[in-house]
This record gives sequence, structure tokens and C-alpha cells, in this order.
Amino acid sequence: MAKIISVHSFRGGTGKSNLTANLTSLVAQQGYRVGVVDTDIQSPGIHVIFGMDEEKMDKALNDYLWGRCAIEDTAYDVSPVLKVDGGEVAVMGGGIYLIPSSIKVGEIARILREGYDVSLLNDGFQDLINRLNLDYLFIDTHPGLNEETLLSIAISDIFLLILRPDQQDFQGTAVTVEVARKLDVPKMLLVVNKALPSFDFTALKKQVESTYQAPVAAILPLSEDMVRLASKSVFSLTYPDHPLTQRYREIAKQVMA
Amino acid sequence: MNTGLFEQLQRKLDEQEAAGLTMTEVLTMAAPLRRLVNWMLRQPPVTFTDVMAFVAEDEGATRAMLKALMEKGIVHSVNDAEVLRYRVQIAPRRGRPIPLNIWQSLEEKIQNEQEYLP
Ligand SMILES: Nc1ncnc2c1ncn2[C@@H]1O[C@H](COP(=O)(O)OP(=O)(O)O)[C@@H](O)[C@H]1O
Ligand SMILES: [Mg+2]
Repeated sequence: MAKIISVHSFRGGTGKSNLTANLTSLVAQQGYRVGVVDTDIQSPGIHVIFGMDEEKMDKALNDYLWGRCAIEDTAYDVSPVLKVDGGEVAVMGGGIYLIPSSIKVGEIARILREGYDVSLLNDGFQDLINRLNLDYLFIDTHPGLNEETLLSIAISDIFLLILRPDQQDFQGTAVTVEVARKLDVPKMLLVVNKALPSFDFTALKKQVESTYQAPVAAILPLSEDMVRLASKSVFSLTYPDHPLTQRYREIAKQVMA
Repeated sequence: MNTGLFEQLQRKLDEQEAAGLTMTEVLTMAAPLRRLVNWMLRQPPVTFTDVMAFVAEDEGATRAMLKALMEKGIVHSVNDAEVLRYRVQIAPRRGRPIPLNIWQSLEEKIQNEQEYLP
């Protein structure tokens, strides 16, 4: 049985897309077939991290939602373009199938204006898993709570909720945790991102776990190298031995457990 | 066409559009129904026996739960080969006026990216 993993945060800019791209790559490196869907239709971006040329993106999730094609027709095998440290193509073992969201203003506007049939998402995820024979499907979501994110939480086997050590994130996360419980998510993992390296990580982990009564998969430090990389590539492939990569690996391990 | 009939048809149409499950609705459902709907969302269409095993109730109570959900259009039956199965029907989202200015949401994204640039 394939596992569906939703990656979510209450607020934007938290690190969802980078976390998703890194987990996808680390899991694929273990020899699995991994799909990743950008459901952040209003502000898409994960394709950038995977180095996907927008010119070559002739089909996107939007095309499926408008009934122009089957969902698997919008999947791109991005593994051949993923480069490791020295610039060589990364060895994936498995494969990464990215379903991007359109970056065309007209397409984004249409979604905002007309909405779309949310039930297509659920069917689409199942079709992707079956037709691409996936072991894992990651869903990169739009921040905050709306019909689409509630649905992706409800159908996920693992719900990864990412937050920063910030009061606004703390409050919103409390609401989201409550909602996820009401949706009977089988496994919920919290990830704290952009923690100042000078923080006491052990104490922070304890504090967050007792606040939300949910396990923290990892505390990720605010990393200068990550800032400098600026979403130009997948961090864990570019810096395989970096301490941040080590922590991404810990999360990947818990996702695959 | 007289206005009375038109209004009646419109109301019917509205009702039809309202049929199906909205995810927000799940959050306010009574716990047993909520659990059943959540469980059904995670799998291919299920049989009556599957549902009865999941809710751990007798046949009468299980039928009553399914009936309540079917009357609201949340659950539909599908005829799969010889056995009757049930699935959750998610309401199609209706078009709505632009809630956020499109430029605002694009800008938000760009700002997030720039926050950390040197
Ligand atoms: N641990 C980190 N340290 C430093 N910068 C980070 C870290 N994680 C993410 N970022 C940066 O934060 C910004 C937002 O990340 P992104 O993954 O796009 O978030 P989201 O998808 O939640 O909006 C990006 O510029 C990214 O490089
Ligand atoms: Mg994102």
C-alpha cells in the first residue's frame, strides 16, 4: 500500500516546499518510486527546487483539474535533472514524479476566480498511485486551512506539520493540530524549522511536544547555506553531508518507518 | 415560464449543488458520523458489511447512519459488478469572487523568497 504524506504549515514561507523536495529525494534515493504534487495552486514553487525549466512545463495539475488530460499526463520524471554536489546527476534508485502547478498568471487567476472540483484531487491522487505504481506520494500544500488542505489532511497516512519558533506560528499550529485530530490522521509529525542554532534544541523539542501532545520529528536549524542556496536545488543532494541534511534524513526515516 | 416554477427549479438546482460533503462540515459532525466519513474518504468504495464492521454497530444502526449520510448527499452508492458499494461524494467547489488579489498572493511568495536574500 502506498503512503500519502501531506506537508503543511499554517503560515507561508515556513519551509514546506523545501522540506517536501528534500524528503522526496531522500526517499527516492532509497529505491522507492515517489510522486510529489504541488497543490499550492495559488503560489506554486516546488518545481523551482527540482530545477524544472518552466518553458518545458507544458502540462500542469491545472490541466487535469480543468479536465484537459489525465493526471498522470502532468507528471514529470525529474530525477534525470537532479544534480549532486559535484554537478553529476544524482543516483536515485527509485524515481521522482513531479506534478507541478501552473505558474501562468491566467491559470492561477482562473483557479481563484472559478474554484475547482475538489473531489478531483482525491481521485487524482489515487490514480497517480495506481498508474505510476508509486510507493509514496507527497503533497505540498497551500498554507492555512481551506477545503483543499482539509481534504489532503483527511486522506493522508502521515501529516507533517511544519512551524517556526514564532508566536504566530504557534497559535495557528494549535488550530491545525486540532483539525488534524478531528480528521483522524493516523500519524502526525511536527517539524520545527528555522530554529536559531543557539537555541537549546532538546528543550525546544520537549516544549513543542508538550504543547501539542504530538511527536516532533526534528528541529531544523536556520541555515545560512540553505539561505544561500535560495531554492536553486535540493539541499540534501547539494550538501549530502551537511548537519541539516542529517536532520532531513531523520525525518525521512520516520516517514518510511 | 412562470416565476413560481422558475424559482422552484432554481431552488432544486441550488440544493443539488449543495449536495455532497464539504470538508469544513466534517469538523462539526457528530463523532461517530465523522469517524465513518473520515474512514471512507481513505479507501475505495466499501460494502455495507465493511461499514458495519467499522462502526461496530448492529445492522439497524448502521443502516440509519448510512441513510442519514445519503440523504445529505454525502454518501452515494455505486453499483460495482454484483455488490452494492458506498463512497463519499465531495461537493464540487463553486466559483467564487477572487478572495485574495492574485498579485497579493504572488507577491507573498516573492517576499517569502526575498526575506533571506543577502
Ligand atoms: N532551515 C532553513 N534555514 C534557512 N532558510 C530556510 C530553511 N528552510 C527554508 N528556508 C528558506 O525559506 C524560504 C521559504 O521556504 P519554502 O520551502 O518555499 O516555504 P513554503 O513552501 O512553506 O512557503 C526559502 O527561501 C527557503 O530557502
Ligand atoms: Mg511552498
